Amino acid sequence: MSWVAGAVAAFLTGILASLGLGGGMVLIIYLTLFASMAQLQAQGINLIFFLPIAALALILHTKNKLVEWKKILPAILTGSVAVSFSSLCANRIGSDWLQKAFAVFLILAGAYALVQSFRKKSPAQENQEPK
Amino acid sequence: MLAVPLLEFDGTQTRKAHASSIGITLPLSVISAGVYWYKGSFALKDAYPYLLPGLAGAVLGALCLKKISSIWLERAFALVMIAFGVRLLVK
Repeated sequence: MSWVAGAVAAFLTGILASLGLGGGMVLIIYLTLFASMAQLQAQGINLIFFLPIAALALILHTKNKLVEWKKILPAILTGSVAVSFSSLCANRIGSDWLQKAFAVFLILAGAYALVQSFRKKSPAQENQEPK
Repeated sequence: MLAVPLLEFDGTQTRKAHASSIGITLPLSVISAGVYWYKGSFALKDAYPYLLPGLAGAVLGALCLKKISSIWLERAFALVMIAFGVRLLVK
């Protein structure tokens, strides 16, 4: 039955990743908690898994005219430099506190976004966004 | 996690921000995956069993993104942010 659980985790991860919700967490949790895989190995598998899934999602989203290529080009360039630099420095700086600070930021930002979404309007009242 | 709110802050509509964020994370993931692979942290074949169901999920996700209410998308993203933050704190 483990292959069924793995397939379900991968399917859910594909949906969330395609929705831009960062679904990698689902697969990493499955691989570490249920498939007893080491964290680093799980992260690596999740990264490789993400590449074709993201490529397919990106092709479909581009076809649906949902990707703002002009806006994201600078982010891709600066992000690539940052990722290359952080990959080289990953073992040289203590990342524990940085990770904890980022976690607190995510919780606070998520809570704020959730409250804001309820303040704005209910889904029933929501009109379609202008195209 | 940062790309979506920053794109929205820049005036991008919610659906487009989510779709465009994948365009940012994909090339960055290629670089990260290259580093992981170079360090020998995993074997490529370990990812194979998850690819087909993952691709099927990606197609469903892309269909959903066209139709999903942006307010529910915002709420789902907020919950994912909180869950990811909690996981980072307790792992």
